[in-house]
Amino acid sequence: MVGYNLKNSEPPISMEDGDSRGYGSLRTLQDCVHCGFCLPSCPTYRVLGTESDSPRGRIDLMKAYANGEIGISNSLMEHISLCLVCRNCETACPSGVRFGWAMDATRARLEEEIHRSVTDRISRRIFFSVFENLAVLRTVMRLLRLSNFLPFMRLSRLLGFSQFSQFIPVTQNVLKNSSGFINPGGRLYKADGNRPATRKVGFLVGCIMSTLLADIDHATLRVLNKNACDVVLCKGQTCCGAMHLHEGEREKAKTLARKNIDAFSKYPDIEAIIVNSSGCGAQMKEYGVLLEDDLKYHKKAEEFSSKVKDLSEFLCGSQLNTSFTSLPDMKVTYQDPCHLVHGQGIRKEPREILRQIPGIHLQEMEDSEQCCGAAGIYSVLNPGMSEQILSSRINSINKTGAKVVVASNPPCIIQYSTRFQNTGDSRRVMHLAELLDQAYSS
Amino acid sequence: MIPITQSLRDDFIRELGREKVLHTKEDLLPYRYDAFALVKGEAGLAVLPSSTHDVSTIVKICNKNGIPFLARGAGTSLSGGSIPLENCIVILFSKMNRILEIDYDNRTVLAEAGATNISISSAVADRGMMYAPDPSSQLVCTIGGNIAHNSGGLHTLKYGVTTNHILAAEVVLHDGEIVQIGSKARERIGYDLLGLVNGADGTIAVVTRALLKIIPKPRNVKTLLAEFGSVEHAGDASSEIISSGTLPAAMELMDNLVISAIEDSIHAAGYRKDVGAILLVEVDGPEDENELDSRRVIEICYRNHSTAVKVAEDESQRQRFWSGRKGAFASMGRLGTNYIVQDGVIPRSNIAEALAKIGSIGRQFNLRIANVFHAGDGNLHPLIIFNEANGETEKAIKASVETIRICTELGGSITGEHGIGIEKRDLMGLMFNEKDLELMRWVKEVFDPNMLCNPCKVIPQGSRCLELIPGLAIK
Repeated sequence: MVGYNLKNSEPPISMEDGDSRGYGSLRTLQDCVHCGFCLPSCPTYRVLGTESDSPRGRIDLMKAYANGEIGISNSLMEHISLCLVCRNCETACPSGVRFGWAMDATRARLEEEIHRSVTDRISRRIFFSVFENLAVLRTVMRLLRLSNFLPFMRLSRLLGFSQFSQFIPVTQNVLKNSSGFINPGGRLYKADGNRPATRKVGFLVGCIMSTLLADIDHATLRVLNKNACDVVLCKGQTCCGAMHLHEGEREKAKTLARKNIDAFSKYPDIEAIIVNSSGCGAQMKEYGVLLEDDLKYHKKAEEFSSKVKDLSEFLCGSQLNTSFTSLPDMKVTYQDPCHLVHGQGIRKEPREILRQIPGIHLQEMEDSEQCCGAAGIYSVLNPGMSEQILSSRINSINKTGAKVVVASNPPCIIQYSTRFQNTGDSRRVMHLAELLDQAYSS
Repeated sequence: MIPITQSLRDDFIRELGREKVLHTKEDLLPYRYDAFALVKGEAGLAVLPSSTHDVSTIVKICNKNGIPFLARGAGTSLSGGSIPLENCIVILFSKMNRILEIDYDNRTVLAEAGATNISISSAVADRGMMYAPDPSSQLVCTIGGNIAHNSGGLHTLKYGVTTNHILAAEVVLHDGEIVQIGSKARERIGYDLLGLVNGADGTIAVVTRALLKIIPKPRNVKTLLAEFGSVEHAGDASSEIISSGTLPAAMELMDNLVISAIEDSIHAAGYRKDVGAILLVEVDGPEDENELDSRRVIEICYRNHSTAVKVAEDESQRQRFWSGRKGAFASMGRLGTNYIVQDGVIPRSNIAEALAKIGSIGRQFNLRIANVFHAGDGNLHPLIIFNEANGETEKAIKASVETIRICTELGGSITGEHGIGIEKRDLMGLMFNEKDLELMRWVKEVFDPNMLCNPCKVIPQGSRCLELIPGLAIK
């Protein structure tokens, strides 16, 4: 007979260790009341139907691991790494569990304890380091642009990046067509002369945005200039660290956060820090949480975070310049980027802006708040699941008849454009800034 | 208890395929809970059927080997109905969630047991129809689970519970045989076997499909939110509304503690946190009748000292009024680490008395008790807030039993809609004597002679099943 021991059913999560292991962020797990309201929101539960691949199940696993009830196993790693950290469950959760924080902290602890092979460790080290220094990243991207892609495929396989090699042709294609990379050396982009400059803002150029998708950064700068903003590309800024945090490299993420805080605090006269990629925005708005136990940086982090604004949030909050020239009639649909809608609670603003652009007809798709399966580098690490999730999004888009998908986050953009390109689909994915830019300049 | 051996697992894999059998510790661990968090079970194995045939195969293997089994939908049972005891096999219905047929001529929907409650209404919404029972967890909970607990919801008052909206079911019996109970014909002939399956907490058979009734969505709906200085005034108002001859579609009462928790959660509905109680009343029907009803409700509320009555101006405000109530239980995480939600029923004329007594239980045990309930049919949901880490669990359970005792003393029942499950099993004695229970055991044995179907639920079984919740058994 099994005894159902009530008293010891749930030992409280120990919080003795320092924050480097993310215990602070695990505390939120105790708010889960097992109601199950999160299940239908979860993309992996929708596909698999298994509790361990649902938020409630993963919460139980994370608690059990934190309490020492279960140890590291392949099965645990599978369930944990299959999570997209899309945070849709946070929107669904009535008890306010911050699932994303807990998952980031759990992955950080696992990363410390699991044994990785030497090649695995080296390839991870190289991969993450590239993003830690924007100059290095620009160099790598330049090489990518110049070289025939075959040697790169070989090299990446050699380094254990075989999963990434599928992206190289797409990447090259994008790079060939893109204009110059953006180097955040402190340059000031003056507001458009037609309107008096009233505000000065900082701009996070982003790692992928300033290189692979530099066109979007250029468009964003023009849009901000059209909206009476002097934009300064604050010197010393770097990658936001979201990718590092979500993949368990918590200490690296903290280092990057501190660098950005230092870089932007050198410009006290900027009233906002504008971000055009939602993953970075969500990350930077939560620097305060990441650095909660860092006495020196905690307060600065919170100040920094309070200035961070998504492009759509900022434009909607101020008087949007609506002197558009009409675009040719175009039916678009809007994909809510997870870390914009679930991470930052922004859903109305981008739609409001879209509705104001003449010629644009917004046709909502079913489940627009469901993840597209990109989720940072998830699509590379879990291609099978990512494909299945993407397919259900494509089905929703098909029903709208839209020719353009608006999604304002680099992974979503790459995910959709890869699919469209590989299937010879003439539809396009665009960033909100690109549409606005076209409407201002056409 | 029979252990799940490697060879037994291989039997399942051979018959169903590897991808339908979950067996690692991590795969199984989360099935130890459902939304009733007081008891932890343990799944021996979990299987993911995709058809009735699969379910039959699973049950056959279980029956042959004497292994108990349990059907699980979304695991939102508030009474532990879907917690696996006796190391049983958990049959998951998450892949059996299709809607198979919509028949507007006969106003029926045929759905698999794993279909969510809301999916039925969504499927017929564009024709202005709906599936009436609407538990607060309707976005998640499944039809199979609704049948097991004979679930109601906010609109039970006017439209009834699951048993009033089901015409037929396809079930798998204890030996794997697949049978149909009921048909599209509205008359039931002979003994009401479908009635037996409804509300049996899945202890009679495994439901795989259900034929459900759909009804036209009411065209005119008015939702009123009345604020009161005290719960007693709100309770009096609700009694007077019923006795006045008005039949609201729904009538919900929430006290201050619940309102605060909701307003601090994502379900914040814009309720005022400084009021003593809120009465949410919804009236529907033909336009003139609707207008009359709502005027009468407003009048009664003010007569019973309501401080303000707001009428939802449009559908979005109506949804907002309801979103708070629907998220009430789940918002309890805002008040304390743990809570027990009780589910007692009283004759509605005793609401004010019952609430006063529940208040004194809270003082006696020094625990906060929040109240939210279906005022129209006297179905109380006292929420007992406690902190497990402070060793308050047993005290909280005792307090919750006392609230139930009050309900039976007032001539009510130990459950309105959450089912017996694990939670109320040992409280059955409050309502039934040994002879009644013996009769129920006979019925159970007719359908499940080897006692394998959702073991240790509903009927107290003496030495066979352990006392699951210390302090809960009544002497």
